[in-house]
Amino acid sequence: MKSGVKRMIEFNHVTKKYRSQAALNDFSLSLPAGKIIGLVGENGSGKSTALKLISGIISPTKGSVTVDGEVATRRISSKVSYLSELDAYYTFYTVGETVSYYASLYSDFNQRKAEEILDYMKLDRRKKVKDLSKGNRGRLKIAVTLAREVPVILMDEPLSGLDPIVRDAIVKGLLSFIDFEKQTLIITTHEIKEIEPILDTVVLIKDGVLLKMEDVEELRMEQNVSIVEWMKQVYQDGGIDK
Amino acid sequence: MNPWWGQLAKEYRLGRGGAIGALIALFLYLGIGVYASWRMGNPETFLAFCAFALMMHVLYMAGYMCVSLIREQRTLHLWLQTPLPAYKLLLAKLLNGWGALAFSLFIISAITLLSGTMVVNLFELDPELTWRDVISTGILIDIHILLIALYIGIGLTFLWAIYLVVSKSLGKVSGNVIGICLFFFLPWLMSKWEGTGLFHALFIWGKVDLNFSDVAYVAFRHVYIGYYFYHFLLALLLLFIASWLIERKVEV
Repeated sequence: MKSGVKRMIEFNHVTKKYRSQAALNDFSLSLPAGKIIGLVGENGSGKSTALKLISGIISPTKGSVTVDGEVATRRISSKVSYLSELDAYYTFYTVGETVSYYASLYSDFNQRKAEEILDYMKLDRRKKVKDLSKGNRGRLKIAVTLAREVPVILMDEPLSGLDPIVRDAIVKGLLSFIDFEKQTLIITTHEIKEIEPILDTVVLIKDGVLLKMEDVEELRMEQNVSIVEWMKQVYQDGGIDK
Repeated sequence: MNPWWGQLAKEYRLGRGGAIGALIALFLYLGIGVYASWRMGNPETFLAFCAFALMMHVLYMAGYMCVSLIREQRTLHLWLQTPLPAYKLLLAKLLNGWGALAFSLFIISAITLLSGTMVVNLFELDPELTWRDVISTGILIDIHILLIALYIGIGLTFLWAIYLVVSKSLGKVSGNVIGICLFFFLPWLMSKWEGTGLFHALFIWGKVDLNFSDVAYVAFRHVYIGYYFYHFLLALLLLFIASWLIERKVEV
C-alpha cells in the first residue's frame, strides 16, 4: 500500500475458529480509509467472518483487528455501521419507527439523510417491517446502515434478494450517500459485476486465507481484466498475497 | 433521544405482546375461578384461585425473560451491535419485565383484597383481624414477590448468557445440557452453602420482628436484613457475570 494513505482497518495475523473449523487462518490485511473495498471469494471463504470481526460482534481466536487504531470489540459500533447478511429485524416496528429507534441509539445517526434514503428507496414509513417484502426489508437495512456518520460502513451481501433494477439503483445510491472524505465502505457480494464500477479496491479471500488485494483501476487499465476474470486467474494460479 | 430510553422503548415493544397475553391469561383463569366458585357455591374457592394466581407471580419474570431473550436471540447481531454496555441492555429487559409484573401484581392484589374482604369477608371470620394487618401482610407479600421474581429473572438471564457462550463453542446440545445442569446444581450448591456456620456468621444479622396478628402471620415472624443483603449481592454478581459474558464472550 502507498505510504501516506491512512490505514483504517488492520487484521494482524488473525485466526478465527468456530469450534475446530478455521474461518480465517493467519489473516493479515491493511485497508485504507476513504475507499470502497470489495471483499470477494467463494461461499464459506471467510468474507462474512472478516466483516463480523471488524464490527466487533465476534472476536479473533488469535491475532487482533483494529479499526482506526482501536481494537475491535462490541463497543466499536460507535465507529462501525454494520449491515448483516441475515434477514432479521425488529418486526414489531414500522419503517419510520425503525429509523427512530436507530436515531435514538446512535448519536451519529443522520435523520435527514435517513429520510432522503427512505425516499430514494421508495419505502413507506407507515408500513410494518413484518409486512415488507424481502426486497424492501433489504432496502430498509441499507437505509439505516448508510444514515450513520461513522468512519467505517460494512455491508454483508446488501444486494442479495433484490431484483436487478433495484440492485442498480442501490449501487448508484451508495455513491450518493457515502461521504468518501470521511467514510470507508467494505462490501461483500456475489453480484460482483454490479458493484465493479464503484469499487476502488478488491480483496480476494479463499478458505480463510488472503489470496490477493488489488487496485480495481489498475486491473482495468494495466491488466485489462474484469474482477471476475482476475478472480479466475488468481484461483488458477493459487497466488497468495503475503 | 438518549440511547438508554430508546432501548427501554424497544424492550417495551418487544415485551408488550407477552405482557398483554399474560394479563389475558390471568383474567381467563380468574373467570374459571368465578365459575368454579359459583358451581361449588363456595366463595372461598375464588379467594383460593386469587391467592394461587398471586403467588404464581414469583414466576412472572422467568416467563417474561424467557420470551424476551428467546425473541432477542433471533436478532442477536442487532442487539450486540448497539452502543450500550451489556448491563444496560439487560437492565432494559429486566426493568420492562418488572414494570409489567408490578402492573399485573397490582391487579391481582387488588382483586384478592376485594375478594378477601368483600366476597369472603375475612373480618367476619376473624374479628381480631384489622385492615392494617391485611394491608401490611399484602404489601409484605407483594414486595417479596417482586424481589423473588426479579431474582429469578436475573438467574435466568445468567443461565441464558452461559447457554449462548457454551452453545457457540460446544454446540446447542451441550449448551442445553450445561444450562439444565446449572439450573439444578446451583440452587443445590446455594442451599448447602446457606446451611454452613460461615454463612450464618456472615449473613444472618439484623433481625426484624414482623408484628402481625396470628391470622395475618404468613410464613415467618421475623426476617434478617443480612439475608436480604446476601441475596442482593448474589443478584449483583449474577448480573455482572451475565453482562461480562455478553460483552466479551457471546458471538453470533
